[in-house]
Amino acid sequence: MSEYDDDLERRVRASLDTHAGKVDTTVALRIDRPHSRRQRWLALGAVAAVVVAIAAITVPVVVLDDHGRSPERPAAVDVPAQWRTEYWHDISVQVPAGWAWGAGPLSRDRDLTRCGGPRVGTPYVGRPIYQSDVCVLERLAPAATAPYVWLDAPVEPGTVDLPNGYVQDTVEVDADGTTVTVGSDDSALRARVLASVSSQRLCPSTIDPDDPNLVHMPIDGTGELESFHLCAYSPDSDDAYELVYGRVLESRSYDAFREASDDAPAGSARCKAPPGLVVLTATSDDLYGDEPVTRTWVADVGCGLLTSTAGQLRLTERAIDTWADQGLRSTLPAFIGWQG
Amino acid sequence: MDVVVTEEQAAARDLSFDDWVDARVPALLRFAYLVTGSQHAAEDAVQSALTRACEKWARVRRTTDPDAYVRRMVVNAHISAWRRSGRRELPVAEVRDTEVVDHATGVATGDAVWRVCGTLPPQQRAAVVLRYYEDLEYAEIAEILGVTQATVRSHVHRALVAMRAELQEEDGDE
Repeated sequence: MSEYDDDLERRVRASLDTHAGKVDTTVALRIDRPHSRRQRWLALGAVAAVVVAIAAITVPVVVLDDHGRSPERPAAVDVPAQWRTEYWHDISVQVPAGWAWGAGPLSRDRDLTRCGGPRVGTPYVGRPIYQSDVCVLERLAPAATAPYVWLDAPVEPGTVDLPNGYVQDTVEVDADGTTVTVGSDDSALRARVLASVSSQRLCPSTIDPDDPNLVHMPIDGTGELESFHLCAYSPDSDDAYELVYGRVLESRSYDAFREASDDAPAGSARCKAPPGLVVLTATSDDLYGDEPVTRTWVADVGCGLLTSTAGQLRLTERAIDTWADQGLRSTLPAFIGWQG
Repeated sequence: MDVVVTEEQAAARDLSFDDWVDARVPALLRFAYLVTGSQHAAEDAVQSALTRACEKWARVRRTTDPDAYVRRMVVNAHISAWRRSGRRELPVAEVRDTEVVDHATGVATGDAVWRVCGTLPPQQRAAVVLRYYEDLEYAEIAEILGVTQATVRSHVHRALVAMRAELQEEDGDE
């Protein structure tokens, strides 16, 4: 280290020492004791003896925990090998792992239309989203030659016989009228997909993007990572941010994400961009307790911002690459771009 | 791997929470003050941290370093409060123009280092304090802040660059 650096370090230490000496360490601190519903006042001074005052009424102390939330471990879903889980609003459904992600039907002018891929002949799971400016009326589309699942398509529940021996089954799966549609010439596949439909517990089905508690971390620090997952949200026609995609990530994604983002430079304010928020949640052991603790980050992909408890950082491509798979990139408008 | 436990750490394991607090609170308040820049915020952060530590004292005191655990909580408690207050980093020039007043003493502070500290995001400021006041190694700081060592080095380096620039300007004015 150069002489100049030595001098700088000396001045830094001197300044900190000086200011540390200015603090009043004799103040009475208030520590809320657990279990006893008593409040203990701790008065410090030159005398080592501790003075304890028992209050008749407990005054709540602000304990900065993870905002009173009781984090649940993401529900362990039994997914057979070679299958994967898709998440949409309140539901989850399993599809073969190799299927693509595409656009499902939308209702336009009382007709069904699809605005996006994949290529004909590719098995896929489709969501009612705009993947492209080019839209095709469903009734004019070529007959299906590969199986598909549609999430929340505006299709009446029931069974429809299609060309090529295909059968399309649609079921309504919740009180909101959410549907799951599966089309295939394989009845066992259809039955298996529909049997896998369930209420999802990976993600909140809606979020308030302005909720300050969306980003949080445990005060105590974290133990060993138990799980890492993402939940992606997009506004609907009422501007409510609803779950459009979810995925459980591997621990190496977490390590890579932390490395890519921890020392990212500060980011700027929100911009006007195709919407899409990704909430990343790491669940870890509590080093000193029995319940798991969670830490979250919010990625605004369109504006290139990553919000953590340390502030707003620039969301880099390197950080995005640690958790964004093809499914997310095919679903979130922030990746797809302005359409429609 | 054997963990080396100092006599002080071993003694901590036998201490009751009250005894440990008696011994450590003055140092924690000084640390918290340097991290938060405010007497009031320092008290809040230490209170939050000690309340939490009290709940888990049976386990905390068995760790090799209860101090590190509580310091981490002080930093995190301050970061959470800082975020909720919607505060932002202030450019140095803005801090200079505003005349930073140390609430503990009511005295206007003019030193460049303290001015730059006042502009740093809380995690970065904590890294500087842990390095140059608490004299911790980068690995220890990384453990407390829950980040990588590379991030700690980056935090400290950027802070030093800003302090160097501010000091050069201050020295040039004299």
